[in-house]
Amino acid sequence: MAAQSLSVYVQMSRLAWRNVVRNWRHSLATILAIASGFMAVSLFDGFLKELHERNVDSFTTRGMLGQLVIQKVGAGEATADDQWRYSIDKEQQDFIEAFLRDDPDFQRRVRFLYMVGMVNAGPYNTVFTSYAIDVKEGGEVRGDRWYWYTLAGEPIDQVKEPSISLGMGLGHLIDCESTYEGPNFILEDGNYLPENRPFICKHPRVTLSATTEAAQVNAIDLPVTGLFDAGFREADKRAIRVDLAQAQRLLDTDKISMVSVQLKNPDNREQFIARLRKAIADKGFDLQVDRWEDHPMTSYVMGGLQILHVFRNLFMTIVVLIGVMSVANTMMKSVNERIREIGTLRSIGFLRRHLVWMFSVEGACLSLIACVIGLAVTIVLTFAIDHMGLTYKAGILAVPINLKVRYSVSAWIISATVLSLLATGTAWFCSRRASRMVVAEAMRHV
Amino acid sequence: MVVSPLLFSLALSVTGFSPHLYAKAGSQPAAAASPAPSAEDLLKDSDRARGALEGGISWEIDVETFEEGGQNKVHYLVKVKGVDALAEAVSPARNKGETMLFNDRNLWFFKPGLKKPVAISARQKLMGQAANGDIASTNYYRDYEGKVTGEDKVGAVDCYKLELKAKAKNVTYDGIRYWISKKDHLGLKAEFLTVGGDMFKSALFKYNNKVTLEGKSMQFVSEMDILDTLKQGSHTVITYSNPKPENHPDSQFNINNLVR
Repeated sequence: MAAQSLSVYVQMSRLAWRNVVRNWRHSLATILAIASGFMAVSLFDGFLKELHERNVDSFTTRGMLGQLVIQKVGAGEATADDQWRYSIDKEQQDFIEAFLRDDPDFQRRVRFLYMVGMVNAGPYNTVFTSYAIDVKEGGEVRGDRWYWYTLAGEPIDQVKEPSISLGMGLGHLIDCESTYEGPNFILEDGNYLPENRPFICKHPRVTLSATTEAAQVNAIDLPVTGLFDAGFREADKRAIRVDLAQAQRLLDTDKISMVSVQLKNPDNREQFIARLRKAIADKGFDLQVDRWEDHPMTSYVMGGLQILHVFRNLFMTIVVLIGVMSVANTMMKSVNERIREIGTLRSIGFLRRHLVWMFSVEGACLSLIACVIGLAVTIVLTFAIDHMGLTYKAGILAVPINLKVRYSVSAWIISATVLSLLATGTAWFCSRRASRMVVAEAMRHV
Repeated sequence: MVVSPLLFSLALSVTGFSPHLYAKAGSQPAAAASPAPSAEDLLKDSDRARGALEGGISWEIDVETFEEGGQNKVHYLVKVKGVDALAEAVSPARNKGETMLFNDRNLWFFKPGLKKPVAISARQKLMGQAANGDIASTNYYRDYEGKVTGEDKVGAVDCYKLELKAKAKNVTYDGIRYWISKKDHLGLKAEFLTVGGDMFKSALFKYNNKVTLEGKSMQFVSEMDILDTLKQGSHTVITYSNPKPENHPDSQFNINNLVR
């Protein structure tokens, strides 16, 4: 009995497929609507994925935040004028160093010191705000892809004497410009070909002046050895990069603002944080440990990404609505045109549920075909976009970004599942009414 | 909000007087032929001629800044009492009403349209030309340990050359090289040093004003020309006029009375 019943459903499925093939012209609009929706959602999600990974890379590797950040409690919300109140003193630094040295998961750390002051070069005088870093360890965290961070000149860790790199915008303000005219040196990931590209500064040495920890005036003189992209355009006009030792000399301090930590295995981050927090609590220090993505420095960018994800979901909802309406329209037309066929099938013994099954399978087939087409086009477009070398200017960013889209398998699966289920459900809903008609009435239907 | 650096210059120029340190107000400096005076005496005398007088005093100041691409001039009225000072811009019209209040080392800024005064941090005070204010400060005896290191000439005037080292870490300049005239004990030239020992700014002083105190007339600063070592072609000239001893009520220097 069960086998007979199953055979009826198989038969109805074949019938459904035959109807899809035979009436493909009717279904074309629906297929195109669903395929377009699938494609749009997949490409958008792939773009967001790329943006997310770019930002993660930008903070953890290029920005040297590693997996976690240690700083004074409340430092993230402090203003620049509160800097010294929220700085890590020597005793706390020694404690952190000792802990890191003994922890099996620790790989390397980078110390940061916030600094603000004036850059003076000849008649030019402009404000800088930046973090000085451990140059050597910073280069190691940036790794092979990002160790060469300068658009022109050399990174400070490649130069033997103490030197300074300037943000391109700041460089422009004091007459330092790249004179490179060769081929494009920006690689696919947005990193740079490691070569000493030429630049010229009207004043090859600059003087940094700032107030020390004790609010005294101090100044240091450094040669400019490179120009770099500080990410955001406004930041770029104030960004410098100097070694931590130089910054501590300028600010006449042994304090630092924060420490970032890179772990051997990032998967062990939560356990590492728990151990470090416990050690800090045991010692009674007012230090806090944050995952890099929870650090206030990153929050505005990651918050922006969250907004884009909400936008993506809204977009997905609209796409689904369009798809559902399209399927509903097609199925209603299809059902209305085939009421006599329904009557005939009912008269030869097929039950209501067999007919509902047939139309539902038709809906499922339509959406699956559409998703397969959408997937094929998505893959082709993703590949094309990734290899066309397109760039776009993202408003606040200092340099254009390569337009890239990731292959977002999860988005494909979710889109196909949601669209197929909704299309099938819509077809099921539309066919229910027709299948309830009295057989004689259905056969008389004109 | 951007606070005019000129206003900083002006207001800071009157900070930090310590009347209790100047019991010798009105006394004549040592004669040139007498043995070399101590650095402390030289600093006390030179500070007096730059405004460190017992009791209150008022004067007017023109602060003129010369930079590449133009110059700027602002006129202020300044009232000083002890470690407090109040400076109010009179002209040009765009700066009129801007006020700086100093309560010892604390600095407040107010201008028409603000609901309440804005506190200016030590870091903000030292941005750009603002550092001129500390150059014009007359508190060297209180803030610096002095040592006469030799003799020199400023123009044709014979001077003692002093090396000043900050007594505390919270003094803006860690060191000053200071030239004080042998004859009148007037500070004629100063070089202001960073913590690293490099020259940050320099200043030349003129004393063409007179102030009568306790019936005695004394020379008083009339012009200060401040040169920014780090910024080529940039300098600020502060011209003093109408200095007159006055006793100001303490309420004038109360932050709560700044908003009128």
